[in-house]
Amino acid sequence: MNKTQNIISISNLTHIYKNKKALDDLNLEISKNEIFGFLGHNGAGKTTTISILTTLLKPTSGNAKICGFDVVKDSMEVKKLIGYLPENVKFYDNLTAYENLEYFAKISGIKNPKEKIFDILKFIDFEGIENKKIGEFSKGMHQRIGIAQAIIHEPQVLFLDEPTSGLDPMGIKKLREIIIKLNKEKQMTIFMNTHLLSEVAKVCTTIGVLNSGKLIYKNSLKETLKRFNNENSLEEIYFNIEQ
Amino acid sequence: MKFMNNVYQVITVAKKEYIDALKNRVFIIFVSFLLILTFVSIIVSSFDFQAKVISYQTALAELQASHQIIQNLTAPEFYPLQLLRGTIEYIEIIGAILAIVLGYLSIAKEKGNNTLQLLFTRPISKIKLFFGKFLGNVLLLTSVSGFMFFGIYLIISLIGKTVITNIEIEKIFLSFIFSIIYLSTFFSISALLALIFKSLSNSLILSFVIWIVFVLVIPQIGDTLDPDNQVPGGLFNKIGITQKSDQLTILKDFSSYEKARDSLEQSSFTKHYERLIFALLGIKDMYNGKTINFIINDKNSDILWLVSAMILSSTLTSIIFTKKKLINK
Repeated sequence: MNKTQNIISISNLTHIYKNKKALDDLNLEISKNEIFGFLGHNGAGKTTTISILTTLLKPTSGNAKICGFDVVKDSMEVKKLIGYLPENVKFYDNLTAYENLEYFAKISGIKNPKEKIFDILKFIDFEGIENKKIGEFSKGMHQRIGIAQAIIHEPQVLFLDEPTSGLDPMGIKKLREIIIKLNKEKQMTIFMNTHLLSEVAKVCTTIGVLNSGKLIYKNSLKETLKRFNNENSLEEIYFNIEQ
Repeated sequence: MKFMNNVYQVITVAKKEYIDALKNRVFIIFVSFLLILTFVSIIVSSFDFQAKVISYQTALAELQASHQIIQNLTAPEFYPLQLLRGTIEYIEIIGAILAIVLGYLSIAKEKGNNTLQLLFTRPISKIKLFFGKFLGNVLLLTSVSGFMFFGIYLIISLIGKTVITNIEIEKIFLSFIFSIIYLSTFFSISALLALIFKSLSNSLILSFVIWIVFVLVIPQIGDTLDPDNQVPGGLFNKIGITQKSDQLTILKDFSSYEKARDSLEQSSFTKHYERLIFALLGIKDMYNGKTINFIINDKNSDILWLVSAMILSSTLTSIIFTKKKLINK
């Protein structure tokens, strides 16, 4: 596979956790500038996949590459290329939004991040909150700061684990807009774990379905909707694929 | 260039740890509690000290006024550093809690909030993250201790109306350094347990169990079993055996008992800290007027224990921090 086209390449990836295969010979390729929606029920192996791709976990066997760099052997290079927003993350609530972003920018190697922080806040339409303590933020505001810290070092790939979990409809809408804007204006490839099919339909360009650690389906959203044209909703398509 | 980048990243983490803790209410409450207790205790004992000095000076003036011969009178010895006894006990007890709270906040809170997981996906090595965390928190403990010892120096000088000599300043400075080592050990133990245990509340409970055993129980048992502590003012003094050599001769008959008691005390690094600092500050009478070199030589085993406990706990914490999988899967 071509390194430049496939920004993420996963080959025969297996991860065994407590004698159970969390991932079973997973093969997956994601092209540049895609918004990839990774679907699957709880325990299907979505978070394990994202943990391996973000260098948090080492696979039992197989390999995964980001922009041609191996996530185990070249983990430091991979870390420079990725941004990550874990599920249910709570930032430093005693610090202000600016102090939080400054911290993540500096440990990512940005020496004078002030201008960058204000640019990012403007980009995600979140100006004027920099001096507020994170502890005073709503869940939706928290997630926007989460996106800001994940993209502050301008990564090529952004990993989002259940980004809309626990958000109200307005928060979901805002986050959806930011994800699309990041993809269109900053040409960022986005890998999104989710179980909200409505989100996938509105945001993603490609979907993959994981079941018991195996990839059972992958196609573009357009093709998927065309292929299952008898179904009324993506939800029905999903159940059809799972069966 | 690479070295400077590494230093920059470590300092960034250290600075965040420092500021984050300073803005934490729990930490501020414990610091305030420690400082209030220390300063109140020092102020009260400094007034007492001042009264003793004034009383001596008044008596001396009266004698001189009545033209009595005072050349052959031995002047009483005042030891202002003995006023720090309460402070050292507060550092032993409340300071240790403060360090435990810091260790817990530094690791457990980040584990629970998933920020540790997030930091591990950043282009910074785990060892640099650990060094940054350790440095930031040790600097914070240094600031608190420094503020406390400097405040004590000022209070004794101003209220106690005594001149602290250069040697006494050096002894206070050494006590400050060893206090940081003592507190850093508790920080590392608390951080270590927060890293090992999946349940963060269990790690905190175990930290406090260790605190109770090493800070309260063992030293208390050791003190209770000490023959000289059986009656107020000391058993030997009460029965008129004041010479140290006589006391040692009698104690020879109880050598097994004394060995067992001492071994029990030796197992608590809090007791090693106390023995060392009490000697340095002359709280233990036999060390009054002794040089720093003499005290350091005499107490080298306590220093060794104290430093070893700090090195061992921080090394273990760094190993677990860098090697253990710290994410949920």
